[in-house]
Amino acid sequence: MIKDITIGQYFPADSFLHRLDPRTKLVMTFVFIVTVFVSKNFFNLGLVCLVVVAAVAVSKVPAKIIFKSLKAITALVIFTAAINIFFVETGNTLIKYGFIHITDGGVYTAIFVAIRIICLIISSSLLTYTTTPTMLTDAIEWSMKPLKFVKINSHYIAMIMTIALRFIPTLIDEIDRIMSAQKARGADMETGNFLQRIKAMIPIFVPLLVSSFRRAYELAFAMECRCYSGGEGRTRMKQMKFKGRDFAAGFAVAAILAGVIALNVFVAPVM
Amino acid sequence: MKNPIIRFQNVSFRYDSEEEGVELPLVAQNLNLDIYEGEFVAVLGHNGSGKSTLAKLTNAILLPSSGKVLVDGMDTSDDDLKIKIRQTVGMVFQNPDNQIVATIVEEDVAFGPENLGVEPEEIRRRVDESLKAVGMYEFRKREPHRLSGGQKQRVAIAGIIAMMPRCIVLDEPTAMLDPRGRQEVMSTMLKLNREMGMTVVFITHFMDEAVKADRVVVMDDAEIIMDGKPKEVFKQVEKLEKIGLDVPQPTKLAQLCRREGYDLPDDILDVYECIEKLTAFLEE
Amino acid sequence: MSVIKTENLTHIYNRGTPFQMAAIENVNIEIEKGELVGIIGHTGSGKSTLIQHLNGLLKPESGRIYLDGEDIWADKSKIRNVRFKVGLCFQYPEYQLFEETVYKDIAFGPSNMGLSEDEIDKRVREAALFVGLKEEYLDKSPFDLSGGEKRRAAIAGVMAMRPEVLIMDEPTAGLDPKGRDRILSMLREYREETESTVLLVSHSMEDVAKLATKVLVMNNSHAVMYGDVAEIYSKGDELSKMGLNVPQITRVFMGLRARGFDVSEGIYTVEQGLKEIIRLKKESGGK
Repeated sequence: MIKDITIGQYFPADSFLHRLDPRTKLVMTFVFIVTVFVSKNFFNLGLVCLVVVAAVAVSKVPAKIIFKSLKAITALVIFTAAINIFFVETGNTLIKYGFIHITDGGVYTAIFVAIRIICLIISSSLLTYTTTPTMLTDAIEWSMKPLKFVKINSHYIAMIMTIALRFIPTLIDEIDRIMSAQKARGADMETGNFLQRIKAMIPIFVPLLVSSFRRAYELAFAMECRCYSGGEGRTRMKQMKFKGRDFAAGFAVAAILAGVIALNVFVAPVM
Repeated sequence: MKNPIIRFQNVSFRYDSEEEGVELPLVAQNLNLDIYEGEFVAVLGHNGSGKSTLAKLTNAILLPSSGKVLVDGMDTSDDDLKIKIRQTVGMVFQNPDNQIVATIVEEDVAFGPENLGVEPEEIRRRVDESLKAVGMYEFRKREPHRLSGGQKQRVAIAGIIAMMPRCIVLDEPTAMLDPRGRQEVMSTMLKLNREMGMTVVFITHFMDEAVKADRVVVMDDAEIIMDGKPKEVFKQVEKLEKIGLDVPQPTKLAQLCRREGYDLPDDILDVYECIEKLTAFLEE
Repeated sequence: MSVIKTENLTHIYNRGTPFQMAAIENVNIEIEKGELVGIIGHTGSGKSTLIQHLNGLLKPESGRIYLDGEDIWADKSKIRNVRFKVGLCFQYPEYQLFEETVYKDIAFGPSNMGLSEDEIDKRVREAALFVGLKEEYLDKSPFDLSGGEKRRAAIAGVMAMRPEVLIMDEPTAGLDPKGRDRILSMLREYREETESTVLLVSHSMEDVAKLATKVLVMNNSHAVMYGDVAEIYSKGDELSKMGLNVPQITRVFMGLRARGFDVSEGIYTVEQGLKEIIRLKKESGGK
């Protein structure tokens, strides 16, 4: 059932990473992604991998759950690796058969790219595993504050995200309910060609749309009754504060980035 | 008597028609009503009787087409007073899902005070107190969609209390709940009224809820047709049944017995009273 | 012969996880043709799970369901036919309306059955008549109807399949007394005219008392009682313990019994109550 899909998967635990300020984690993740991309040889990529493993260990998120999030992207990893194996033609030829031409350079690149993608996915999912959706929203709101110079109101974007997060489970329940109701009237959503299946979705999506509009309308009323009038003059119950550990973590990530760049300069790249 | 917290003076309301020259019918007609501080008033009526319109007129969601609504002396049609009025009269709606904004219970309760620009420590204090008042403190870290209907509705009530209003208007808060949820909401509101002195306007079509109020206002066809203590209102069995409302079964039974010529009071409201009076009658 | 029969019907959600929760366990019920069965029980007692098994929307983990003596899961590919024979109308059915006109929406079920245009037309009009929607409503958009009318149009959409068994989940939820009485009397007439079996899931023991011939009580995933209305309502104490709201009138007479009056058990309407008082008075006090 649709219900089984997990969204905004947060893994509750009490770890160093969980306790960090969400803004720190957001910036750290960004810097780390940059780090992954500037890693040009197996030495610094190895360092990156070590850091990822260490971060997972510190996060107290079970490795099993991490692997589960990787499973979803296996196809992507294999596909990108395959493209690199077949189309990168540098270094010594390993196999040449008809139009297939595999070189050691291609194999290296493929392995390299695969490791990069895996590191990216693990580090960014660590962010969502250790940060509640609300905290993440607050951090994103903070990170978008400079956008007010180009007339983008970060408060509204954050509010939209919060409401979306709040209503996704409600709407999923609703879809389940409508589907059951239409199935009870003999709706057939499992068979037929592509066009027929799209058509079979109409009895689900029309009621969903109608009810979403009704919800939006009622929610707007309720928010008005609670004196909502945009971000102006609003305070927050939960204040975000940088603590010592945030600076320590930030320093560590900066050090890793510096280390990776140093390895790039002093150790010859593979390719 | 104290000053009314909500005062309706000859209030009529009709929605604007989209077509020119067409006048839609009045959905509130010549309403005169004073709600006093500390009262628990139930507004009873069937769908389309105008009771929801009455609710929406109390905090400037709708503005009267004619007449005046005064909240603590403030005219609701004065746009500058809107925020102040909504701070004085809080509102809870029918669908519990469609009034919860945040993804965590306590953050939702904080939403109102945050909008009002209250200091963070004060918000924290209000949120904790409001959640305790509705008995949802243990659930403060939960996600709203995992709660039952009655619990969600109590969270919505806490979200209003945290704004420290003097009056809460609930627009059919129990219509979508199961019996357990209905009881939870009703007893929460009775407690807030009795213990905190909160003024409550409770709109419903369930007579068993109206029975528990201090005062019952009955609406039909856009007008207020009855206004009095539950005993005075519910003894008018025929009038209530004629406009399609239920009467408590004990009241109905006593009424039927009276028609047989039996000497029973006409204002029996609850089961216990009914047993007492029937015992006395049968042992005569 | 019974129209619906279940044998050790069991469904457990999230088996093997910490969230394991029995929805229904070992349910054995047998419903005779033509009965109007009221199903009562509080939220989470297993009512909803049970009715979704009866029309094959949910597959039992173990146990069997027989419709007219045949195991409904004997041939998996025919499960859609079971849904036409056992019509299930969900709570707040108006939220499933989607077509451009009321007519088309009511016709959705019958056309999924693959009936001819003439037959569909006949059934749509018949169903509209059952729920009291006038001819001119059929060409309107369902979204232009009032709340009560929407509900009735949606119910017509299930009735138009002419199911042998009609299951209604909380058909009066959210309605005022007028709307509620209208739906209840509509169901009564429908059953009398079609002679079909009707299952009515309700939180309101008063509603069930007005209509049902039999009552099924669900508690903690089990079917704990099944019998005639008077028989079930005479067990007021047990029902109250399950957290059910026994009608006030029943509670009045339970109270009188406790005080030693010789009143019959299982009074569940005000009219019955009046007759009982008259009898008692004639027998001078009744003690």
